[in-house]
Amino acid sequence: MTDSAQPPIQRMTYLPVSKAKAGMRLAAPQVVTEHGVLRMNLPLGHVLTDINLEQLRAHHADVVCVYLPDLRTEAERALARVREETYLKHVFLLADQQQPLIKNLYQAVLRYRGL
Amino acid sequence: MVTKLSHDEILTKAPQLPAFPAVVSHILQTLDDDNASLGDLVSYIERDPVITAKVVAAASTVGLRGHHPVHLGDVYTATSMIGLTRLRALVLQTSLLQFVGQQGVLHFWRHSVAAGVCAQELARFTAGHSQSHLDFAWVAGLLHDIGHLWLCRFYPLEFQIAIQTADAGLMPLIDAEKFHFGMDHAQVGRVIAEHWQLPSCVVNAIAQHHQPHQGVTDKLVAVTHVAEVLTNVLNVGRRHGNQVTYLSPAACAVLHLDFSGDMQQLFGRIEARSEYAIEVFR
Repeated sequence: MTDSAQPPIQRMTYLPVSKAKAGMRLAAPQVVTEHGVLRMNLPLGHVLTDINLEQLRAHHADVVCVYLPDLRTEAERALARVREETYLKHVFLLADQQQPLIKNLYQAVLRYRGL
Repeated sequence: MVTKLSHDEILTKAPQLPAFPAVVSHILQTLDDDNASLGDLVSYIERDPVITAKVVAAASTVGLRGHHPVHLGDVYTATSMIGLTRLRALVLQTSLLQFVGQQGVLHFWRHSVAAGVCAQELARFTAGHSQSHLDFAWVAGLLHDIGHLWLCRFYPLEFQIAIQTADAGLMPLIDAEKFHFGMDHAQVGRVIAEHWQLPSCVVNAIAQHHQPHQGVTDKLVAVTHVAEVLTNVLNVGRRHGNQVTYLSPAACAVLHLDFSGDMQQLFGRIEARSEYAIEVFR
């Protein structure tokens, strides 16, 4: 767990709408269109309600982007980085790891994982 | 043991695979047709009781999850509530699961669904793609590894040896396959896809998903290749032995894809949608 004096870092996280819960705060505007018609438009920072979630499901929204607390300690984050790098090195074992594209993709995955 | 596969052998044995679902062929024929009717597609779906049951169940879960559960009794009601685009995706995914399930290789299906989602999200992210392009991306992603299924079905031992060779880091899987079979799974997939008379753009995407031609300009080929790479890198299909041996600069250039930019949205949507798709259809 994090130090109680420090509020946990809020990480932008994409979730299937089925896993979103009322009270979560949007980390990106939620715009739903169907056949070019705007059906819903919830702004960045909006706190989701049960009614919002029901409407999102009714309009077939598939994913929401919300803030979730990153409760990992520094040690846990360091361990996660080692695990991710080990995985990526295995995946790219037979690739040209000096190729700029591969390097950029490697770094992009680490950034995405918040590592 | 080294086997040299021929085009004829692949075609001779292909009918021993379970019948490719007729509804999939029908959907592929209607992807470009803006006037395709829901009723027409429903009439195809209703010919297959397993797919019918799964579509109705999935429609209930996807479209009506909430505080007011509704029990859908027929395909038409279910499909009219979820729309044609989503229906196509549901049917393709359900059909492939049924097709692959008979082979007992569900890990193949998980990877395929993840690649389908990945290809569709890439097509959306890199813009300039119409709804029909998104649908083709989904289909190409779902079917890109169909050659694996053939090899696994007819040469399970040799295929396993090829996989172990690649897992040990001795050589890329496609090289191990070429060594053992004289051709790789992308080439086998091309023969099967042509035999099934899939659209030529899908055939090309399957044939080149590991190694797009130099100077590739076909966006579907580029999308399918990069989707295969991202599926492995993000581990969204949870497949053992994920490997990336090549990422085509030409394919990334066609898609104007720059991994030094912000990938949060693309990666996030791929993971969230793949997780959900695999969970719903498991």
